[in-house]
Amino acid sequence: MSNNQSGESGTLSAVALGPFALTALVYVATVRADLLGHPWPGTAEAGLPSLLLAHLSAYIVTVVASYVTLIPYSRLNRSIYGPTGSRSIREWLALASVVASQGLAIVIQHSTYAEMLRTFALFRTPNWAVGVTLAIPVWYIARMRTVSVLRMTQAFFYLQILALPVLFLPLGEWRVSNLVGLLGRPSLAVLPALPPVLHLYFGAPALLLLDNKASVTVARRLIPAALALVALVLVLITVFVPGVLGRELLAIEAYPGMKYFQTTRIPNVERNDLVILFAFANVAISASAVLGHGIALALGAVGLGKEAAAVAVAILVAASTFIPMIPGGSQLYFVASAIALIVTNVFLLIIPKARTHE
Amino acid sequence: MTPSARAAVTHDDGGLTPSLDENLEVIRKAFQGVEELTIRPFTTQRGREGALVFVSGLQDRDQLAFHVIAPLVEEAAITGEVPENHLARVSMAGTLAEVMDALLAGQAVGLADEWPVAVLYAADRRPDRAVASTDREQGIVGPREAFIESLETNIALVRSRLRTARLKTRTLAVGTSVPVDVTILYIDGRASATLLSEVEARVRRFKVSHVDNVSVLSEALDQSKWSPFPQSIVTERPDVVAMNLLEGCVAIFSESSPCALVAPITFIRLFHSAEDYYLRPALATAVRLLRVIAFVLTTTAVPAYVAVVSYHYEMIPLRVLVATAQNRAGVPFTPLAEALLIDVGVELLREAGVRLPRPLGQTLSVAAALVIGQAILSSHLVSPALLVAVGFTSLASFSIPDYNMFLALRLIRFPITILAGVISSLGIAVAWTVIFAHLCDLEPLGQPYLAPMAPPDFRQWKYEFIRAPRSRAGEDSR
Repeated sequence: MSNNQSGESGTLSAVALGPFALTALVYVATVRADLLGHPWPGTAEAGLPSLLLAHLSAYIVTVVASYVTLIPYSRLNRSIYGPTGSRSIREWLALASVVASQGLAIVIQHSTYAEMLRTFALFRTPNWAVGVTLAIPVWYIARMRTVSVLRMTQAFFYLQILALPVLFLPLGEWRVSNLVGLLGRPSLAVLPALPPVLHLYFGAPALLLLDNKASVTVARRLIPAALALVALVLVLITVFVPGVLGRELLAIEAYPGMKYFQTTRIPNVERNDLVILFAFANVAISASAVLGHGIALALGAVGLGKEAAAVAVAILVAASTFIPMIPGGSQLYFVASAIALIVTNVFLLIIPKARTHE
Repeated sequence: MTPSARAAVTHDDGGLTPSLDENLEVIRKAFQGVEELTIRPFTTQRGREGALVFVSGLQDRDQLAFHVIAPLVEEAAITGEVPENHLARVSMAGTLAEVMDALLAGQAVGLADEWPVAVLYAADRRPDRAVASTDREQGIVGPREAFIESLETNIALVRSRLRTARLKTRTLAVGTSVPVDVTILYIDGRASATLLSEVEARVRRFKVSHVDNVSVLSEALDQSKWSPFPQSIVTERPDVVAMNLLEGCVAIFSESSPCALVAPITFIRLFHSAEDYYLRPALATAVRLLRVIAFVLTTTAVPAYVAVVSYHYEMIPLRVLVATAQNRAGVPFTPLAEALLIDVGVELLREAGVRLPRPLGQTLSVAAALVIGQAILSSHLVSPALLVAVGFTSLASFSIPDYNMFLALRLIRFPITILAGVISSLGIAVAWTVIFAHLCDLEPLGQPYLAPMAPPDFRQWKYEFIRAPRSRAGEDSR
């Protein structure tokens, strides 16, 4: 990828990407609002062990994709196409990977979150109003300098970690008996559970593709630890929610995450699920903004204009809120997800090595 | 001669001539229409013709009579041989430009026939007020003195607190039309050379007609000119300046300005008060926490009311909901219109209270709050619950120590309220996300605004978020 990311636009290598900054970046970009709307199909169909296995698989795939470089793609390309051709291929592959994986993560998150808003709170608000409200902050943040985006992830990381104990509030209703039916399911029926779980791990590691200089290479080694924190939160939710709701509710609830928070009581607040839902606006916007910033950087790096890319990301966010209203949108969603899974995980394996040999 | 005086030269820059008449003629022409220009001719004991020129009103009359005019007549001073007991500060000038500048600066100028040199007598006395207690940044404990409109006095007030030769100054002339002396104060070894050169460069580059007050220069230092959030502190307390200088900041003073500009600052510093350092650490920490709560209340209480009452009344417990519904019965406005109406009213009241003479302003504020508040309630224009929320919010905002921050928070409350009224609590969450992102993007003079939170410097947290005991902090204690 071209080296025109320096200076004001910022690069990951140009800023201090220490362990804390990397953890915050990975956490904020990966723990997203669609977590609340995650339909838990794996739990209902394949059982909890399958779901946990799916988490483990997703974790390993994501770590491997962002950490280990397997294919000496660059040398191969160089010998076939020459330096200019191979460089061009690298750039476009990186671009395709980043835009596909991060773009789809944005689409998945905002389509789910907007649908939840419509279902639980904003019954009469026009869809475009919700879309624009979510798109403007994403545009604003996506066009900021990389160093500012990293600082923002750190600031939001504190808030999200401080809010994490809320996750434990409904545990008073947690029953082992609720898990019994789910534990009995075959643990090897992992395939149905894998795609939705992999969706949850889309995100930040792809951002590191944009820059392969020393500090980012060092930071990449810390990704397993950073992702472990994300995985911990996701696994906790995966275990807590079925334990509180039970198999029957899981099968019929469209948004088990929201139902989970409805089971608890906060003094003087009647609908604490709404508090959680609106608090997740911050989660949704910050995650999309980080992912959108990655897309803006990627497009900016191949000369397509960072500002224009930020606008494109904002439009993507606004457009995502309409997806659940399209007839057959869910099929479209799963096809797109499958494509993104292939694009992300294949290209993630290729690009880092290609960049290393530059 | 001061840099501003030198820069103010707009007339002929040639040297003095030996002819007294010619020199006086040039001065008269330059000062045409300035009625205070006084020319006192005299003849020395040796019979040489001379004149003392000054702009009346800017001198100490006693000094002028006894320590300028008397030696002049003896001709000792005119040759530069000043008696040892001479109190006036004396310097020589060889050009008319220097003479003009000295006159504008309030000095008296001695000229003599057949003598191409002028003697400048610093017998100037500005009509300064005495150092008084601060009005704007009051506290219960701690020093009370405040800066005045004299640059020299203000620097002396800081220097009397920081008795070290490492306290350095750099003076510049700022202003394209009427230059004013601006002094940058810093502690050598504490303020980084990069920071100092950046501040100096920005102040030099700043093109403004005239620096009326030092706060004008904050525009030169700000990274984001349109941001509502202050990126420097304007203070009138010498102890605040001294503390910040010790922490590596620079302070900027300007002539005729009763306050100093301190930079760079961080967001959390705007919630610190000088009094924090004079209170017991536990108490100071609690007060700081209270200010953060006030910050949240100021910006969120009214928008939250609007969002909940307009969209999510199911979030309110039943008993409170019934009371709220009863309160709102008969109110003709939507919660958003109701909130904006009362918020704008409170802002008008606050602004009027500031502009009016103090006794009248206080009386009017109290009377208006009681009378208008009661009338609004009686006429059912707004609900009592909203009035309580607005009152509470106003009270909370007054606990923010920095005036610019106080105004910023009151200002950003309006767009948040409108967003809450239009798109419910989602608007509040979105607004806060944008505000946080904006704060992360601010980097006044290269220092991240949200430091030490983002980027994190956990060692500083005990000084910035809480007030750790000074003895633990070592030499650089706050």
